[in-house]
Amino acid sequence: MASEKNTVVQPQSNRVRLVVASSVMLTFISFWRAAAIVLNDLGSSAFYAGGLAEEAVGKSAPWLILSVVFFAYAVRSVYVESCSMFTRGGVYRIVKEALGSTFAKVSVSALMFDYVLTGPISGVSAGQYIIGLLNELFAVGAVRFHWAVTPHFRPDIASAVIAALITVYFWWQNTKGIEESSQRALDIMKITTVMVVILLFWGIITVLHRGAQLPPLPAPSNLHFSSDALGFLKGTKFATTLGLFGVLMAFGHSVLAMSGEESLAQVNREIEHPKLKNLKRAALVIATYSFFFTGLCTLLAVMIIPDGVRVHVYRDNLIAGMAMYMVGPQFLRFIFQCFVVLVGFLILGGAVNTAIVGSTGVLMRIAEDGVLTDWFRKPQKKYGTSYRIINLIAAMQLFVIAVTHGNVVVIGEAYAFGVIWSFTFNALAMLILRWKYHGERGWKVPLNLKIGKTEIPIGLISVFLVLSTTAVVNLFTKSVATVSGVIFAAVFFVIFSLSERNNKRRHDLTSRQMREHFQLEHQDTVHSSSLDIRPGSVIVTMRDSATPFALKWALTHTNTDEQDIVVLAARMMGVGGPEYVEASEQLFSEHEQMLFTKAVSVAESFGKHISLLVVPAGDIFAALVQTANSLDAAAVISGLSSKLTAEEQAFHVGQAWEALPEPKRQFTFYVVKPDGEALSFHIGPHAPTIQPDEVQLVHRLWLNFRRDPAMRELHHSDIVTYALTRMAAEFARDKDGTLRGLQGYLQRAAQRRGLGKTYHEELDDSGPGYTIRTHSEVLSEKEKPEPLRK
Amino acid sequence: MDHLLHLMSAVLVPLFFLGMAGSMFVVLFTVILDVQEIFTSDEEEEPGISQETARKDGLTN
Repeated sequence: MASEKNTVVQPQSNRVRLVVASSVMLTFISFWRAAAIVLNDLGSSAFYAGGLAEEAVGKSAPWLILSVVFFAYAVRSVYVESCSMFTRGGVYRIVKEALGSTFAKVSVSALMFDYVLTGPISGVSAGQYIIGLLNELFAVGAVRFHWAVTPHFRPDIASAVIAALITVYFWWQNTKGIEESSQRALDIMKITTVMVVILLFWGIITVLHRGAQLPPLPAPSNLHFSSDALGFLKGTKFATTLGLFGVLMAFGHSVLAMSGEESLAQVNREIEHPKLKNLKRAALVIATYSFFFTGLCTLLAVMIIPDGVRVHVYRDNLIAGMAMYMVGPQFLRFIFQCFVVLVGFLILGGAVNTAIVGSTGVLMRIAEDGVLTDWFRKPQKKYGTSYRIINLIAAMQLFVIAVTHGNVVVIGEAYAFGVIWSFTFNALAMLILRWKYHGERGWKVPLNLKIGKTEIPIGLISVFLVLSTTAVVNLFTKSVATVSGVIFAAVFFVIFSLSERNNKRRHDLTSRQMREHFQLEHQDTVHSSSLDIRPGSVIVTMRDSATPFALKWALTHTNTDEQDIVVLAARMMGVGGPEYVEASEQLFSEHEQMLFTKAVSVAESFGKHISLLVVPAGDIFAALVQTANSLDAAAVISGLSSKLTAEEQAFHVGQAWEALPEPKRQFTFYVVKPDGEALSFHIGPHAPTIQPDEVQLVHRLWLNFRRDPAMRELHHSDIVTYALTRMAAEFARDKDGTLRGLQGYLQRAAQRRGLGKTYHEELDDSGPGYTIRTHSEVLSEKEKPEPLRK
Repeated sequence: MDHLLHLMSAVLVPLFFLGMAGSMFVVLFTVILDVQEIFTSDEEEEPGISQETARKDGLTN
């Protein structure tokens, strides 16, 4: 949770109150879902880490992968400590806190290198699995059906094309504003778990059946480095007598097995209460899963796939190769390979998306900090997404795919550079914060030796030593990664530094203008009192200063003497989105300034008063209903989305309302179209609008039933209650039948209403919000004689 | 280059294995502590949260 401090600027008469909430409006997820999100990134490395490690160091690779997976738990422990200090304990935040903004820019450059390369390596790897399967099917088909020519795709080029297609697909999805769903991550992990269980059981049976040998232990004599794996050491005398240094080198070539740990810090903010305990649960689930999937499966793969084809044929699709060399009939193995390819495509495709979302999030985060110019933050006109950042990331990923021609080894080498250096910066920063940071710390990496008043963090030092020594050695042994990584990081660092300097002047001006025009208040949480508004207010969402039609509609239909209007702007922060800093530290972009200025000028043109509110949000609909509930609002007014229909918008708002904890207030949700037409939807349980013919039907039934002397006490409401009870019973007995009947009714009703007409309730004279009545109206209504109950 | 590499090896290798030994204990202790904590009831307050709450309520310094 962000700090408690509330910065209140004394009001000035000519300024509009602008409250910036610091508590993010989030929907919280269970530790299972959090673990699934992280594993979608971390687990995907199981598909390529083993093959790449064996290519580099030889047959002992599985032991090194296992040791990396084991060590990853210690790295995770560092992340848990950072997350217990800062809700978003990612690299940028931690390094900035410990070492200042220059080091933070360096570390975030390394992290960007990691994120940008996650896409190409996952996409190309997905392509390798698909092409590997197709080539095997062609080979089998050619033998079985006596084809004259056996079709064969070049794995690298074809994989590069597939990777490019996946990247373009997710680029477009992100440009449109992809809905981040922990449910989808969980579904992918469920299907992956099925695959892992089959892989392990079938693999163990195969090993026992064939009496396969364990791979050699990673002793210096058993490590056989490829020419590329020696990097700058190639040709030196030292390379012939590596000794224990070889073990360190081999470990460095296996670090890909723990790529994706940063996602844990990013997802921490979303984890439900008890946060720290659930974070540890997620960490344990991730560790167990990585051990069985990445660790044991790589071990079994080396034991099952013959030496002659393992690296040569199956280096880039090791798990598919494992499926093909299990004991059992060939058709079963083919079916299982297809399943492996399907799962690989899902999880690796998901990792491409994670890469785009993650790197966009990191750039957005530093843009908010003023490091990137506002040019990057400008939202897409139609979809409202940060399309320029998304374009930049996707272009860089496509560039990597094109330059490397889909070579997994080259991309993997470079990727490892980003992974190890971002971890090293994180561990170093955490070490410094042990002395520098005196705030709340829910968890500490174990092994802390206390001598007098001084505490020596032996555990944290140990983790840092492993990471830093590996990172330094990788500089020498991964030549491509070192050169490309240093160039990339240097270019990004220069861009960040120049951009920050240029931005500072602009932001100083923006801040001054914001202070001049708005009465800025930073609040931890949002309440009616913090905005100085009455309960029963009207919330209007505003995203684009060029299209304020929802606000105009609200101002037209609201009597501000009786109801307050709050203009809400949400700062979107999805899963893998930007890290969160205190609201007081955030900078207003020119876009936001334009938005608020426009809102105020529109309100002034109506001669009405409005309040402005900014909330950080993980999900716009959740943020909307949470804010409406916190402010005790009677109505929420939104413009028509460019992506969703009004009904879909209302459905999402309704879903978010259902997820709200009690107590919660019902409200009316209005969707205003650009032509000024508004559709209204009651959110929460409410009395349906009954049409005159439906009232007639109830009345006719009542008349018929009343003929029976036993029905003297029957009321109209009894008929409705009885009909609903029967419907509920029918639904419980025959769900499909009831649904079919209801669908038939809806179709008939739609035909009656005519095509293209949307059913909506008319706005009455009382203004937005069906519960909104002035006190005098409520009193006068109470004084009216109550209608006779039939 | 060879001299530099030998020097680097002499420094980095002991540090790496020292770090690995320490990290093994970190993993061991973390797993034990995590498993102990994870299987306790969710109703018990987290230490970090309770302190924070206490501070907010003015119960501590």
